[in-house]
This record gives sequence, C-alpha cells and structure tokens, in this order.
Amino acid sequence: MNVALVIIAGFFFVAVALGLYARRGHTMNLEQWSLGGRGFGTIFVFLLTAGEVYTTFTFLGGSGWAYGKGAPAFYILGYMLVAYTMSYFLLPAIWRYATKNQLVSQADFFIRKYDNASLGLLVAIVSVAACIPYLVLQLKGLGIIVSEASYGSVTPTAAVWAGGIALVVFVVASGVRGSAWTAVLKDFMILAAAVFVGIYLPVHYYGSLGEMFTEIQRAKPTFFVLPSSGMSTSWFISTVLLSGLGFFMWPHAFATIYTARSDKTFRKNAVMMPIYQLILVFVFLAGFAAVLKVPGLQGADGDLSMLRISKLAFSPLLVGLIGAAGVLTALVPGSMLLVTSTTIIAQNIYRPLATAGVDDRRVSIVARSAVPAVALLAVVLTLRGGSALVPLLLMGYSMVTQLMPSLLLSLGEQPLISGASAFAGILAGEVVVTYMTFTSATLPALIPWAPQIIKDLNVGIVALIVNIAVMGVVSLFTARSRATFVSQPAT
Amino acid sequence: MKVRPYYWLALIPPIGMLGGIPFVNRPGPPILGLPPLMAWMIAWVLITPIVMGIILLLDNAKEK
Repeated sequence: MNVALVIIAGFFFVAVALGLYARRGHTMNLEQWSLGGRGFGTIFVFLLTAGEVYTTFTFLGGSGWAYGKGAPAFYILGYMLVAYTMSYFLLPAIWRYATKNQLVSQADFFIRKYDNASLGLLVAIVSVAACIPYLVLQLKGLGIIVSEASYGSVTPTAAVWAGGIALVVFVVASGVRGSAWTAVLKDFMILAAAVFVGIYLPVHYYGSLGEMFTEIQRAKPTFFVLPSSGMSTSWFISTVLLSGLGFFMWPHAFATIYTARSDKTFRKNAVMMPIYQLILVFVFLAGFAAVLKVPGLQGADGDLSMLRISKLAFSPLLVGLIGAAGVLTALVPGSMLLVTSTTIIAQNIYRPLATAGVDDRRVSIVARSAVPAVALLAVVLTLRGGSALVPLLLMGYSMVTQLMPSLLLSLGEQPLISGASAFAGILAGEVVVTYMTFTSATLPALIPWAPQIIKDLNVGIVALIVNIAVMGVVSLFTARSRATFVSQPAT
Repeated sequence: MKVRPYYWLALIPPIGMLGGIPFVNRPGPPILGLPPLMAWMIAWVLITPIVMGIILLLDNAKEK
C-alpha cells in the first residue's frame, strides 16, 4: 500500500459517493434518470460537455500524440473549436424541438422528424455500436492510469473491475445526475493537474518553455511540422472538420442537449467552452516534456508518457493526485455513455419491439436493469479486446458522423428529404465505414493515381460522400412518389 | 432559425484557423517561444470565444 494508491482510492470513493448523493430529493423516473429532469443550468451542461470532451483519451491520448507524433496532435485543439462554433446555432434548434416533443434519445429525434420507425431503429443500433467501444476505451484508460499511478500495486485488471462496479453502482442509482455531480470534482482535478504538470515539467527539466522547444527541435528538426504526406495539412484540415462536425452526433453529447433547462445555455457555453481547450495545451506540454526525458516509448506506449515523466519528477503524493484526476476522466464519460446506451436500448430497441404497450416506467426499469449487463460486456471487452480497440473507437467516430447530413436536413419545419432517403444514406455510410475499418482500407490504396493532397484526406470523408450520394439518389425516387401522391386528391 | 447578417462572423474561426495552416506549418522562427503551428492553434483557441462572444452580445441586444 503506497500513498499514491491511498489517494487514488480516496478520490474513487468520493466520486462514487458524490454520484450516489446526486439522487437526493429526486424521484428517479425515466426523464430524471436519463435527462436530469431537463432541468440543468449552464454550469451542469458545461460540466457534462466537458465530461464528454476531456476523457481518458484526452488525458492519455493527448499527451501520447504530443509525445509520439508531435505536430499532428494539434488537430485535437482545432476540432472542438469547429464543434463549439457550430453548437451556437445547432444546439438551441435541437433543444427546442426535443423539449417540445418530450424526446428522450437521439434516435427519438430522427423518428419524430422523419416519422419513420425503421430509421429510429437504425440510429439506435448505430448509437449503441458506437458507444460501447468508447466506454471500453474509458475503462481501458482507467486500468492503465490506476496501475501506473499506483506504482503497479494494483493490476489493470483489478482496476477495470473496480471501475466497472463503481459505474454500475452510481449510474443505476442516479443516472445522468450522478455524471453531473462527479463531473464537478473531475473538472476541478483535471484542470489543476494539467496546468500544474504542463507548466512544472517543462520549466523543471528545460528551464523554460522556449528552451524545451528549442532542445526538442535540435534533436528532431521536423517534430513540430506536419509532414508533406500522411498526416499532412490536408489530413489535418479534413480531420478537424470531420471530427468537429461529428462531435455533437455522439449519442451522449446529443442527450446532454436535452438535459438543459433553457436554450440560452448553449449560446453561453459556445462562448465559454473554447477557452477550456487550453487544458489540452498543458497536456501537450507534458507530453512534449517527456520526449527527451523518457524516450523510447513506442506506439501505444506513448500514452504512458505523461504518467511516466510524472513518476520521474514527482513524489508519490503528487502522482496519486494526477492518477486520481485520470480516474475521474474515465468515470464521468463512462457513466454518461452507460446512461445513454442503456436508455437507447430500452427506449428505441426494447420499446418498439415489445409486444404489449410499454409505459415510461417500464422503459426506465429496463434501462436501469441493462446497466450491469452493458457494464459487464464493456469490462469483458476491455480485458479481452486487446489492441483492436482504437480502430473500433475511430469506427465509432465515423459511424456517428454519418448521422450528420440527415440531421442537418431535418432542422427546418419539414425535413428536406424523406425518411427513406435518410435511412438509405445512413445505412450506406455505415456499410462503407465498417468495410473500410475491417479491411483497413486507406485512400492511397483505393486511389493510387490521385494527388497526395486527396490521398491524405481523412478516410471518413469517403463514407460521408457515399452517404450523401445515396441519399440524393433515393430522394429523386421518393420525391417523385410523394408528388404522385399529392396529385391524387383524397376522396 | 432566422439567419442574422452577423451570424456569418461564426465562419471566421474555422476558415481562419484552417486556411492559415499551410502558412504556419514551418519549423520556425518560434512565436512567443512556441512552434509556429502551435502558437497559431492557441491563438484560435483565444479568438474563437471572442468572435462567439460578439455574436452573443449582438443577439442579446437584439432580443432585449
């Protein structure tokens, strides 16, 4: 038992206690459990959004990319700026429609807008398929952080089980309220840890930021420049756009929109959230500091760079605090993903497929009963999944992005395309995403004759183009049939 | 949603940030001690809330 472990365990229990406390004074019906009773103010919505953005992927992956790749890591700073800018206009529109129609999930939005049940089922399946790998990634990150920061006294396997059980306990009890309350602690911790580590490490090891960059550049002259092929400027720009446009299509990000009390919330957040991206700058600095001080971490091990250099520089007490911040970055998004995916399973898969009439109470019971099952599946996948995880997460990202065109086209009074077109477009997009993930297709292999600038585009663009093309073609036919329908007056 | 003329300002962050990438994608000289690309991205992290803040203020004034 060491100090670091005691601190991590302490914060772990405080987080669970906060998650449980969150339920006080509320009857946990479906609306309360999944959407916090649609009563969250600007701060809770801010914290939930931050909970989605700053996950273990940021904590480990952000420093890992800075350490292993250099300049390409900066895309992570850029894509959320695109997402926030768009959110100012997009989120209030989604909120108004969802609140007026008492929608519970993202799939509900598509069902109601397009008046098409099959489309809802497709969106629901896509949502769950995208959420689970993301949840697995959080648990995997939690395992790595706990075992590193506890100096190996807890195995990743034990930590993953503990994390899974903690999530089940407070998610079943408090739903998204639990996420919001633990997010308060999480954001305070991650902000403090990132700023401290990001400033201290460069100054401690190099004297100043400027000297750190000079030294790294002396050793690796092209480290802070995007390469001319591969992760080039064309890759950078297309990835920032795709990830930025896709962000609010994540089912748990979409559900967060529903939790707000007022549409004014989103405008304020669109102004404040970008500043929060500065956390990432500090995470990058920690990763850069590790480049020359803990060299030799290859591939995925680069994700350990921030924790490794922290262990080198700090006492177990501080390492424990950094580890605790890391654990919280897994629990908050993990709990949101659990709430959202089980809500969708109950509301959009169980409810329409059940034979008898199902009321909200029943849906709520099914959702909460599904929590342990989904958590167990995630734990098993985490422990057995191996290295297949990152491709799956990237696939999840590309999958949710496919929902974007039909969502945008539905925002007016009447959707601009038919439900059948939306269904066909999304389905085609998902087929392309899945095919390309499992065959590891790359653009240079598909179109070897194209100029480099095209070959380096984010491969997700291909699926989006197919999606929109299929949507357009099906629209030509369905639009005609609608016209025929209209020209024959009902008698 | 009614598109007010100043909503076009929201295009400044994405277009400005991404449009400038080819010009700042060079090894040096450093800007405030930072590699040019990093300094550029941080600048947009700071400019974006200003642009969105102006839109919010204009909206608030209009909706009063």
